Amino acid sequence: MRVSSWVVLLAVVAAVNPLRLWPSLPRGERPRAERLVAAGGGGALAGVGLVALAVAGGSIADALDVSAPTVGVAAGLVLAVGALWGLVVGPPAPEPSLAHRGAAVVPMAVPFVLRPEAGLVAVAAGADGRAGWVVASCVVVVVALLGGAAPSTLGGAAERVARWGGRVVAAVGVAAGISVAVAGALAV
Amino acid sequence: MREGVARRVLGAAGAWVLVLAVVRVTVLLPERCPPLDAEGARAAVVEAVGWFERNQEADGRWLYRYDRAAGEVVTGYNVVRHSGVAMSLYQAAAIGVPGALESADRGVAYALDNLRAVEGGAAFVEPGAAQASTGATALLLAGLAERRAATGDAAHDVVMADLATFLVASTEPGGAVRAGYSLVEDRWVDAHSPFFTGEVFWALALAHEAFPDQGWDEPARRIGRYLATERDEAEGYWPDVPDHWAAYGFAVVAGATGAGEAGAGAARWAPLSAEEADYLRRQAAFGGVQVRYESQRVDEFPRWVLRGRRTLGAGLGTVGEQLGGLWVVAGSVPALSAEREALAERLACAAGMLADRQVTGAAGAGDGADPGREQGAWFQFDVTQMDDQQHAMSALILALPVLEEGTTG
Repeated sequence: MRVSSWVVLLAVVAAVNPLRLWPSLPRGERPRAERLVAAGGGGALAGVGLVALAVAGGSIADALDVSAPTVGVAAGLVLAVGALWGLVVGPPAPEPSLAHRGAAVVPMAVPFVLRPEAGLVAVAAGADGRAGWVVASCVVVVVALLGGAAPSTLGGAAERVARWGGRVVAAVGVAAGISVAVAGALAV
Repeated sequence: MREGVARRVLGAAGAWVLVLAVVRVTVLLPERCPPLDAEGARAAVVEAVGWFERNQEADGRWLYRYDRAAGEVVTGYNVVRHSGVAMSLYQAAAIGVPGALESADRGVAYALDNLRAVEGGAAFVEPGAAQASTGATALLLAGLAERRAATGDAAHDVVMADLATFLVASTEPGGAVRAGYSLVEDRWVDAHSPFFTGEVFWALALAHEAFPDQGWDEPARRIGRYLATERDEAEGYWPDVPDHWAAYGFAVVAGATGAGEAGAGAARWAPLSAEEADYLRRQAAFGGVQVRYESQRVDEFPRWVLRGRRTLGAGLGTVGEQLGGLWVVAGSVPALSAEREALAERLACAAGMLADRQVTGAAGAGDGADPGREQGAWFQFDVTQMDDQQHAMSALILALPVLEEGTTG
C-alpha cells in the first residue's frame, strides 16, 4: 500500500508547519529585506538538507538494513507525534537567534525547519522513490515562510491565519502521519 | 546571546539524536534476510525430506512432535497435518528430490486405509474420530493432484473424484465450507475453520485442472469469491485471516500454475474479479509486514522483548507459502503486477530465514539426544512438529523460481 504523492507533500509541509512558525519569524527592528532573507533563506537552506536526505533515502535505508515501508512506519509515527505536539504547544520563541541574516541559519534552518519529523519523512519519501515531491514541498514551505516574514509585525488577519492555520496544518500532520505509518505497515 | 544560540543548536541536535535513537530501537530495527540461492534452498528441502524419511513409521504416519531438550517424542497426531505433509512431499517430488515420492506414497497409503464413505463421496477420517474433517480430505486431494501432475500416474483418479465429491458437498451455496461431517449425528457440523475453506478451494481448483470436465471449477470459484468478499466478516475474523491456502488456490485460478498441463490453466478459468484482486492485495500486505517483522526478530535479550521470540517454522513457512502463491498470481494478474518485485523480495527473505534456522547435518549430528530427529527440522523452544517441516519445505520450494531468477538482493 502506498500513500498518494499529495499525502507525501502534505506530510513534509505539515512536519515543518510554516504557518505555526509565523509568530516565531525574525522581526523586531530588522528591515524587510533582512526578514525575507532570514525566513526564505533559512527555509531554502533547510530545504536543501531535506532534499539531500530524500535523495539519499534509499541508501540510508540500506545502511540501516531496513526496508522502505518500515522507514515509512517510523516517519509516519514521528510525524504524527510531532504534529500532535504542535497542536498543543505554542510556537517556538524567536530568540535566541543569530544576528542579521545569520537568523537564516539559527533559528530558521535549525531548529525551525530542519526538524527530526521533517527529516524522517524526507528519508521515507526518498526511499519510496518520491524525492521530487520533497522538492515541491520545500518550495511550498519557503513560499509560506516568505509570506509570513513580509509584514513587520504579526497582527490582525495574519495573526489569525498563523494561529488557526497552524493548528489546521498540525491536524493535517497528525492525519498524514497516521496515513504514512499505516501505508508503511500495509505495504508488501 | 551567543551562548543562547549555542544552547539552541545543541537542543536541536539533542532532539535529533533522541528521536533517531528511539525510532532505531523501536521501529527501525535491522531487518536480517540471510542470503540464499536456489542451490541452498534445494539443499534445505533435501534435508527436510530426509527428516520425513527417517521419522516415518511403518504404517505411514510421521513423527508428530519431538522435544529435543527432554529427548522425548510428544504424543498426539493430526490427520490434517498428515495430509499436509504428504502434499508437501509431493511438491518436493515434483522438483526431483529423492525419497520424497516414496515417503509421500507411504503416507497416502495410511490415508487411503482410513477413508470413509460420506455424502456420496469419501473423506479421510482419523481412526476412532467422530468427525470427518474437510481439511484433511482437501489436503489429501491436493496432494494426489500434485502427485498426478508430477508423475502422470492416474492410479488414484477414482479416489480423487470421491474426495472431490465430499468436498463439493461440504460447500454451502454462498461459498462457505463446513469444517467437517459428524459421523455420529450423520450431518454436517455447524462450524467453519479459518484454514479449511482455503484448503477446499485449492483442492477443488487443482481437481478441476486435473479433470476439467467434472465441473469442479464452479464450487471452487464460489469458495474463492466467498474468501475474497465475505469470509472474514461472516465468520468473525479481525484482522483478516492471512490465508496461504487461499493464495495457493488463487495461484491456480489465475491460470499461472496448477496440476494440469503447463500453461493450460489460463483457458479454463475466468479472470479474477476486482474484489478478488483487492483481497489478494490485502493478503500480500499481510505477508509483507509479517516477513519484515520476523526479519527484525532476534532471540537474544533485549530484542525479543521488543519483537517477541522468533516464530515457528510452520509460522514462517506459511507466510512464505502465501507469498509464493501471490507472487505467481502477480505474474498473471495486472492488478497485482506492481507488487511482484516486492513479493519476490519478501519471499526470498522468508526463504533465507528458513534455511538459516533449519538444523542442518553439521549442526544436528551429535548435537542432541537424537540427531535423526533434529537434522532437517525447525525448532522453537526446543520443540518441532511435523508441520514445521511441511510448511517450511513448501515455502522453500515455492521460493525456488524467485531464487533461480536471482532478481532479489
